[in-house]
Amino acid sequence: MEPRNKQQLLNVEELTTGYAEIVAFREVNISVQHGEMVAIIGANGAGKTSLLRTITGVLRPKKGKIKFDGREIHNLPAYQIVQMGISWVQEGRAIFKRVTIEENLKVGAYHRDKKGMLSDMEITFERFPILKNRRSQLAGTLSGGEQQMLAIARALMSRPRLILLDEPSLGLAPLIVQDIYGIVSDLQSDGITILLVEQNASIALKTADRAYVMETGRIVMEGMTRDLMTDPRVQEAYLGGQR
Amino acid sequence: MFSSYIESILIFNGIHIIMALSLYLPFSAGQISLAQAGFMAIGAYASSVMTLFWGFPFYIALFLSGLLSAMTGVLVGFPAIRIKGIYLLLLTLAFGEMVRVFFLNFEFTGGASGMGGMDLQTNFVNVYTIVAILIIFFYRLSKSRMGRAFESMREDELAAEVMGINIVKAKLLAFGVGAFIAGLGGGLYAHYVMYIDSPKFGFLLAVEFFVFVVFGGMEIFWGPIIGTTLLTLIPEVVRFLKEWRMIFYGLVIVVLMIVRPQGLIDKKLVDDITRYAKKLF
Ligand SMILES: Nc1ncnc2c1ncn2[C@@H]1O[C@H](COP(=O)(O)OP(=O)(O)OP(=O)(O)O)[C@@H](O)[C@H]1O
Ligand SMILES: [Mg+2]
Repeated sequence: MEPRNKQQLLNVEELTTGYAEIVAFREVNISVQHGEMVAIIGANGAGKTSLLRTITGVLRPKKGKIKFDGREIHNLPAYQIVQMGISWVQEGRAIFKRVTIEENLKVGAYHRDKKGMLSDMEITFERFPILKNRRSQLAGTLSGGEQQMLAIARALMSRPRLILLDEPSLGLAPLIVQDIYGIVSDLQSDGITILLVEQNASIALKTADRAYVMETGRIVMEGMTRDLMTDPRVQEAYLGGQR
Repeated sequence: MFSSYIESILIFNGIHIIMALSLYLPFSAGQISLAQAGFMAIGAYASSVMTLFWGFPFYIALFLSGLLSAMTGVLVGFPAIRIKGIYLLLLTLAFGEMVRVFFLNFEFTGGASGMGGMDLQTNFVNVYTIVAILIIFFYRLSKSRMGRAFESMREDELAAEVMGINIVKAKLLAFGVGAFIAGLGGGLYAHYVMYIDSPKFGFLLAVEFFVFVVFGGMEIFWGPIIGTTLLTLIPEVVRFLKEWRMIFYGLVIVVLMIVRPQGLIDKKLVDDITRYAKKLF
């Protein structure tokens, strides 16, 4: 158990959210420290995406608090939360398909000044050479893995301190998943804090430092990933019995 | 400059272009509107009241009626913050009809017998000066941050929101500025035909503007300009089409949806032409 007072970037306290009558998740407590990579694993409908929607301000909590860098953010509009340094890579990428790759990146830097945007664009192209060569093509012409890279690159353009990744492995071939997770690890090395949501528990547990297990709207387990990986309950339910 | 017949066609064309652009603006931000004929009516009546009853100079009346129309546009924009797609279409349609019924019963502006006696103020030069200003405006918008925000909202509103775009502000702006442009179109129209009555600004007119934009293409502002011009001029050249205008529009749309669903003009076409033109010169 890590002490509660370590340098925490994100704090989700007793958070409950729902859609009209449906409760998506209840009394969730999650914390993410500076520089850490934390995963949330769970099956379909567990409430993972709803949790990210609430953190980004798209969905309002029914109860509880969200603190980012010590400030309460759960009543702020989505566009202000981005400006504070939280960037969200949505499930299914949500790139602007009929817009060029370059324009996609520019929108990612929406609240930044032009100079910062252009210099970050070059940094992004160094990190993702595939995007550089195709910068003036429509984003819809990219393959699934490339679209995922674009989605991550676009999220980075806002210079986030915390990046939320929703199922980056979704629908991708195993080799491409490896590539994407290589990039995710690089981001952490660059000092970006990461909150990762995955159904693919095996890769998430291999990559992250710490993880929470979410089941039907509740956190049922938490711990260091190396401990969770060897936990029989996790192995049984999420790793298909293998190690 | 031209024969008066051709001049009048060109002036109507210019007014139609202004109206199509007024619709294109909210469209470019993903907001569908059938309210533009209503905003046009507000501009037409308000400017006429100002010039005819209050003796305001034409250009001041034009500008002020544009502002009044813009304020109404922002009000219509509020429900659009939450309402989307087909429901927004119905809401804007209902607004347009409300405006029409209002002026039908508003005795101050002549009620059912309409309003006439305005001076002829609108001419080829002032209509196309406004068109030119709008072209510059839309060109600059397309290269600007706000234009980029509109475009991404049209593509995926949620994604745009979580990229840090204040979509509430952007929607109100799109509706407001669109309505301002429609108000100008209405003022120019009123001071050209010199007689207005509310049935002119009905639902069919809103649909007509809609057709101009869909036909020309919604990706880039050249679409509505070219689309309007073709659809205004073709029925003039082929005279018998005039009575069959709506059927002609219907056929044109059906054919276009099959051959070119993005509309006549798209970004790629404009890029290709620019590149070709650069090679030539
Ligand atoms: N827009 C919505 N309206 C109503 N209910 C919703 C909505 N989105 C999600 N839900 C419900 O909330 C619950 C949690 O869904 P959520 O999408 O957060 O799960 P998830 O863990 O992300 O699932 P997956 O792994 O399939 O993406 C589910 O019961 C779902 O049906
Ligand atoms: Mg999900």
